[in-house]
Amino acid sequence: MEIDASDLDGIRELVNIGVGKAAGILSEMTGSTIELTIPNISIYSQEESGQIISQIGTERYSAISLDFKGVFSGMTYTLFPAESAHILIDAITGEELSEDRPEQPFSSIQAETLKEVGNILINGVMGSITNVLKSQLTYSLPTYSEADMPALIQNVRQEHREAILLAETHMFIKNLDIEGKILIIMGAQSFETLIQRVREISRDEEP
Amino acid sequence: MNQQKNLSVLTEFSDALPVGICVIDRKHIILFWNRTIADWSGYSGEEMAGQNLLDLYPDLNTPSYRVRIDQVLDGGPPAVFSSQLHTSFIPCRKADGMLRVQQTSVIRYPGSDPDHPCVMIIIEDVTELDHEIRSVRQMKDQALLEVQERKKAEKALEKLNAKLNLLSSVTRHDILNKIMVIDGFLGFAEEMATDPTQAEYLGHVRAAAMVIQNILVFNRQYEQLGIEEPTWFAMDTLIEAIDTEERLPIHSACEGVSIYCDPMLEKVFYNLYDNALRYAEGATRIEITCHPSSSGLIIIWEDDGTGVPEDDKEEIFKRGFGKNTGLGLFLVREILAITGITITETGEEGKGARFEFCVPEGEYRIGNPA
Repeated sequence: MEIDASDLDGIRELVNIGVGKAAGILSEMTGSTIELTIPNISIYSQEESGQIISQIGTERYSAISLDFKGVFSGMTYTLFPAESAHILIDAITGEELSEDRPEQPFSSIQAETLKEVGNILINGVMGSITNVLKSQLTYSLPTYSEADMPALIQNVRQEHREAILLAETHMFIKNLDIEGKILIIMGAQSFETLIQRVREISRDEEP
Repeated sequence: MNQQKNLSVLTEFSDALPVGICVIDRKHIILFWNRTIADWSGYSGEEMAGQNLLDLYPDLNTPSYRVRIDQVLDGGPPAVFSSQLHTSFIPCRKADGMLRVQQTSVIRYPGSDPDHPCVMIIIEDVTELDHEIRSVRQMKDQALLEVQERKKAEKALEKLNAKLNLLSSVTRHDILNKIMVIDGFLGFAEEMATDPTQAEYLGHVRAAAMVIQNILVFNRQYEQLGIEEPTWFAMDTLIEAIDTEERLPIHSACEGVSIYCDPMLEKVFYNLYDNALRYAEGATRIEITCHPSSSGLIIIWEDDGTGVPEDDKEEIFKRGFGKNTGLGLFLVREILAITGITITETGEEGKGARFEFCVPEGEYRIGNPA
């Protein structure tokens, strides 16, 4: 399916609404102002998935994943590079920032905290998407893992990895810059459904 | 009706689970409260049914909880609440008064009527895990702090040691200069002395000056001990480096053996050889052999001289023993001890001296290049 700049704009707006909601919840929850930048959106076909790896590298990420099924099926990830994940944990739990943390593995309690933050971001974005789809989806419970990008893509069922939507954002907490990515991997049919709905909404909003 | 049936099925299995389970409807009214959460909270399922959860636990009425619970009720993905960001979803205390630390998941209740959505709240008690992780972290932080303190202390000791070495070196240098002056003037005095008693006294003064000189030389050597990192030495190379005399050749059967030792190891073999030249009367050769054993590598250094008397076998390693400076074998033992190597005298008087080294496992290699 061919997509154009206005499709990308529509998706950026959807993701941005979701990310904005997530920022509000995270700010209220942590008692610190959390700002999330307008996400940078890229879309790849299954054949182009190699480009994601060349674009963002093969470093290991702290990944929070959520499986969804329905008219729109696939997997959503929130990804934090190791260093950002450690800064994030320290910033939101009020722990003292230390330089050697990225070398240390996360405890299960810290992984659970990252899972909650990732869950809030995913829920914000998926909430925006299901609003435009006007359809109920069924979801798995979110899970936490640490893996590189190729492994994360491989983790999604073959029929659900025909299109990849990558949203890159930066989270600012107490002047700390935390890099985060949201990855939605879905089937071709799901992707077409999403784009059709985005186009319908854009047409409806035209004067 | 279906909803009630589903809830009774839920009761049957959920009461056996070690997690707290609560089901609420769109208006946050409690429909189900399992046995575990009843035990934790002190409120039975019958007491809680029909009550508004947000009224009972007002913290849940804040946006960070309510908005997320409502998202799930609206058909959104499950919500998880971590123990680090929300210590307790439903505050409950243990018998000892300690607040239970909880990890919570809120999912859409699968048995609910689509027109009357419900959510299921599943609460895990992670108090023990949380305490264990915290105590491990505390121990780790404490250990890191101690390492930092130790590093600071080591740096301070290094500085102090450098100062002491400098002082010691300057003092040694000055005393040796004065001994040279004493030596010179003693020479004049000895030439001028005509009285035998006076000559004898001057002899005592010279001997004492020589002892002082030897102590200072030893002091200089001992100061070098342990300064440099231990390293690997090939036995062949060490033996070849000894400048042997024709009357006392060395035969070594330790080809390919390397030992890990302080760089002053060369002095060990030199010292043993020097001792053999001085004291092993009638000795014709020195044999060196190496034998792996259960306690490590045994290196034997033996001559065919007069040997060491039984009473002196341990004494010879003490500082001040012997006819010369009395420092050689003391220093030998100290050098070897740095990497855990021991040395003992195990020969038989009259048949020759026999020094037995025991090199611990890991501190020797056979066949590998040094």
